[in-house]
Amino acid sequence: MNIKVLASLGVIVALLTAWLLVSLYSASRVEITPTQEAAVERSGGSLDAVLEGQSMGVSTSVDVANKDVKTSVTVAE
Amino acid sequence: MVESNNSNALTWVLGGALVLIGLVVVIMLVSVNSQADSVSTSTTVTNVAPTVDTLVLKDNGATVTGGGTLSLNAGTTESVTITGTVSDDNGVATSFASGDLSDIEGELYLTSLATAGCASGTTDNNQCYFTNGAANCVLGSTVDTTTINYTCTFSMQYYSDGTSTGGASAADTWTASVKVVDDASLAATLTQTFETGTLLALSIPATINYGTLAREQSTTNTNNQEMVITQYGNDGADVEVSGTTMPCSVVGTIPIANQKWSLTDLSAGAGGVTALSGVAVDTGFGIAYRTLDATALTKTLYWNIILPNVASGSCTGTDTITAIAS
Repeated sequence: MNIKVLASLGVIVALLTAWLLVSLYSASRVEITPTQEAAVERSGGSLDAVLEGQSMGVSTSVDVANKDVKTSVTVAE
Repeated sequence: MVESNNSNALTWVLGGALVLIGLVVVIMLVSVNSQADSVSTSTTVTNVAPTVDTLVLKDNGATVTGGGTLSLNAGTTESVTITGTVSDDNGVATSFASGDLSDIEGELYLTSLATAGCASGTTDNNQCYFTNGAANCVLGSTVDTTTINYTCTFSMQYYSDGTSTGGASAADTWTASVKVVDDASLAATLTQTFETGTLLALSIPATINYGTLAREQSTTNTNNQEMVITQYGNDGADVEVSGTTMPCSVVGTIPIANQKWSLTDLSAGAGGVTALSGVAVDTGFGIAYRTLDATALTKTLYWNIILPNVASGSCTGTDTITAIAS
């Protein structure tokens, strides 16, 4: 067999093998894009308390007003 | 001989060509099948309902376990939170605008009401607290791509119905509830019951000032002193009263019994008044549970005084008011 024919056949086989490998590699990369069926994008102290049992002292006060007392005396003659 | 050699070469070439054609056919078939696989990989992930994984009730930072008691704060609000995690297999994010979660709702309600009786917009501080949205029921950090922390915050009023002994709803319990909703309106809820403690607390004025009176003058229902006592808890309450003599700065002393108390607006000489004594006496005051959100609950204790013949100057003393259960 002519050596040139064999070389040509070898080149063709190599190219076809490369094509096969590239095709298989591409086919193995499967992209899965999940989609959600119903998903939608949306736009957007204590105070002064006296507790039970406690006592509170309450200041008491009263001011006694001065009351004028009228005095009088009758001097007997 | 030459013709024979040419015939052999042609045979080799034709054989090689047939092999090549076979290889090409095989490769094309493999290629076509491989491309078909990539086309059929588009898929749809079905929406699933979210879940509330955990619910932790906290009373001012302290954990309240299931059936435990939450203590209210006299005269003001108590900080109550519900924390935990929620999950959604469709994905979560730290904002309701992203991920699959659309809302988290938190509720505190009397168990007898059920959640339907405590929906959004029906807040009644005695028995129902509702919160949601970005302000009071917030998403926290993510645990992973499908689980996220949350916190719901409440300000529980001091007059919320007590479910412990003496409370307005002693036979009931409270329920803490968290509901998570996803973008498809699928929802899940988790609850925990708890009790609110009975809080007996009153706000009592610090002074009784009868003003300026003349010797032997008595107060009447026009100038007696009204002691307005405010409900600061969630329990009905009475008060006990006692007092001391009131020495005067110039001369004389006002005896304890010259001060008179009553539950209605009377004059010092009226039949319904009671003379103060040095021993604590239950007045039967009976302030009730507060039930209105808009208006504080108050009740008045009336005080009269009769000045003796011998007294001058400023007379002062101390009365003692004690809060007791009614």
